[in-house]
Amino acid sequence: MLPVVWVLLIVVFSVAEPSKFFTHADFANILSSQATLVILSLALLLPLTAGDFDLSVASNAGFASMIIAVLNVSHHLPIVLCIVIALAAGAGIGFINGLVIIVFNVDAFIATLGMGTVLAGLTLLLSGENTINGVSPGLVSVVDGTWFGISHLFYFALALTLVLWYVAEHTITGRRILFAGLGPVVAQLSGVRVSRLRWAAMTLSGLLAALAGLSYVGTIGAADPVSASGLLLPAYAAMFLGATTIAPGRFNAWGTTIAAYFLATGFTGLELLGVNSWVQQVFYGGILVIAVALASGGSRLSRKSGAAAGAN
Amino acid sequence: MAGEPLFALRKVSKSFGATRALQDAGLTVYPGEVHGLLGTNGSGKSTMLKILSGFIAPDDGAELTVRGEPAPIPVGGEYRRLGWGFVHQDLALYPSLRVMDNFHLSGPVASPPYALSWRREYRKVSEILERLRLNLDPRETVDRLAQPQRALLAIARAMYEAELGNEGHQADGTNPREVLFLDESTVSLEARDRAELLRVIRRMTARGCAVVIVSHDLGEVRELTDRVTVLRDGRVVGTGLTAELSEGDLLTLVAGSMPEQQVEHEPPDDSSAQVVLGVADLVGPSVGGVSFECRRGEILGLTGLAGSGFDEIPYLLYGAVRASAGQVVLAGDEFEARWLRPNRAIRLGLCLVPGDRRQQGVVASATVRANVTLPSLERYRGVLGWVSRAREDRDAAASTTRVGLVPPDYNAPVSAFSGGNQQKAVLAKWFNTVPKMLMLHEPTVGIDVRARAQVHELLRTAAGDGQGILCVSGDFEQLEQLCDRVLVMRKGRIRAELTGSRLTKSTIARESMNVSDD
Repeated sequence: MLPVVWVLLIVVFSVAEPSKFFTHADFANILSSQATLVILSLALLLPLTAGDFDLSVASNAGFASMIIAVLNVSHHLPIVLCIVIALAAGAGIGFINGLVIIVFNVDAFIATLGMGTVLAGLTLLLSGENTINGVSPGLVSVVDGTWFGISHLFYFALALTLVLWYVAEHTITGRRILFAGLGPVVAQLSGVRVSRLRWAAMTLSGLLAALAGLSYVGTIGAADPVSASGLLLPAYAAMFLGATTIAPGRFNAWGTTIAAYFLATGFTGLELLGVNSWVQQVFYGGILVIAVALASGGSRLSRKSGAAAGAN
Repeated sequence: MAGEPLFALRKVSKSFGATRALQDAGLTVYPGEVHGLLGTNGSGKSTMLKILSGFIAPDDGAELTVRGEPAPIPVGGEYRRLGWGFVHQDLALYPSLRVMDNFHLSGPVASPPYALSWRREYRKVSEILERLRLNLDPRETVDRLAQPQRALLAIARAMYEAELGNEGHQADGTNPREVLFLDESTVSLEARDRAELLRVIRRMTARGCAVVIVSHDLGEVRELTDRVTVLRDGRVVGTGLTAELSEGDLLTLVAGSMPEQQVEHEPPDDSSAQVVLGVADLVGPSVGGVSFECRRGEILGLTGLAGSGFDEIPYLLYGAVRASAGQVVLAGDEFEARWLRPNRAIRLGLCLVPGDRRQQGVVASATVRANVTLPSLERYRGVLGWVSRAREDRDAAASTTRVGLVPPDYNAPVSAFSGGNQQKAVLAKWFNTVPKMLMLHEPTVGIDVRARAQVHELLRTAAGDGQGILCVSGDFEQLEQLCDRVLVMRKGRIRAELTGSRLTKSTIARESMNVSDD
């Protein structure tokens, strides 16, 4: 249903502002510039499926982007090294999240909220509260270079979607993660090592969040300390909205990607129509609530979902 | 004791589908008495108590008189208005709250609801506890109290609520009609605490009220009660003065008469059959030093009454509850019980069908196929960790056919099937792992008679194929029908092993209650 609505949205905006909206350039622009959001949304897939909220992904991305920028611009380290360090840091952050949640038994919501806030602060520290410009043009050309007019990043996001879809739907680990989220007691008694999987999912989400940070830096060649946090809600909105399509009732990779671009289309279209920027918040927030309500009640998708009733 | 009963319940019957839980049963309690309601698993005493507390409704025809006046059988929380208070087995206390907070579940004790005065609450609760001569600090949090103290707190609270309910009835406090029902809530009390409990109870009965103690513990009933009513298989089989009934009399009433054949058959000499599961000195939270063996092709039963620890054993062996000591031998390999975890147990060929199907057995929103293959996913591993759909389908089809799933659609969600079929799906899941040893906890609870028979047949076939089966159940009749040998536990240890002609429902019941050699 969502792809249909998406097409409808495009049609509506094209009719409303034909000169600005339905040009190849703008369409490519959406697909390219919002790829960061897609990657960040996908970072949430595995932890949410396993039943844990990760609220630190956006700050993690911001932190990673700042690491790359500062190391590359201020310390003149080769870009590849900066990337490796940033990704390692991201995975490490995810690992620590997992540690706090599994070993110290802290609620995932609280643990990642705390971590996210800490990271936001550290990002400010690293950046000296400035935007860091002039990140390696090499990176930017790799990320922003185009095939058929759409940036490489888009294709990367597509590939990531494919990989996550495969892992979630077609691998043994993906099946176990699904059950760990749907019924942790059942899973545990069926031999699934639920704690280990949740920890791994957290670590991976940290890595993918750092990847989103990398894509952000690569897109604009700069990193600023505040804008990353604004991506958290849209990422969740994309996950929940994505759960209404392709594989309804479950968080899924393709649905998330379509949803992320749907949201981006909506926002861009509204912006082009001349609506004010506060619209963004209202749009994302409203969509999140509507999406969850539409998906037959958010309870099926919520953290502590045990055996949810009702055949679909 | 006054001549007129405080309340009299008559002609109570209750059926759940085809199962008759109560048949023309009743209970008559006089003022000033402590009345015991005695029965074993499945006797109907829990059902009767649920009817009295308004939790379920009896079938038509039940009558209740309170102090001679006919009264409607209470529904929901109405029992309070009759001046009744209940203490259930789990005590219903909030461990993280204080004694005084727990005291009145529906509102403050001494203050109007919009103006709580903690000082007034504290004083009032102290008064109540003082009146009952209970040494509890109202400001202590419940999780810091020992179990006996918690039981006494729950009882004090119920007594207080009963008094409150009665206040509206008789302003001058005469002619009280309060009844306190204690439902298996004293299982954990030691002798010393029982004396304290008796004092508290006597204080209540001295005023003319009554206390009903529902129990399976013969010793407790003989010590605490004035009169006793015995239920068996849903009927009242005896009622009278406790002093006039010997322990033997009570045992016969509860468990049925001794089987005529006293001759003990030698258990068939299966020592040639390989031991599949060997347990030595297993120790857990409710279990102290349990040892037994199960052989290939044998259906071994394990049972006891609530609190005996029998239902903890399969979870200890599976590693779902951590054992503190003990060794386990599975098909020749020996392990420390502490080392066991579900994933390790499965790999070794030991499986558990848990007692709570909905929370532990299956994920209802997922397909039968996904549920059935979950523990054995490694078998379907293809390239890059891919799940081989073809092999999965083949096994799902085979397993669901074997258990007779109706309709045999393994791509439907589990929630679409009846309870009996859901349980068969759970069995399919474990049969699919090709276990050496299968443990089942309450395998046929909540499923219809036909499905139950099918499950029994499946287990017999599995045993015939050489698997070892451990059936852990509180249903004595099931054990009689299904098992080759039954172990009976009391107070954390195995006390009896029954085979051959001694393997009858009534003997099991006797052994589960026998206190003579504790």
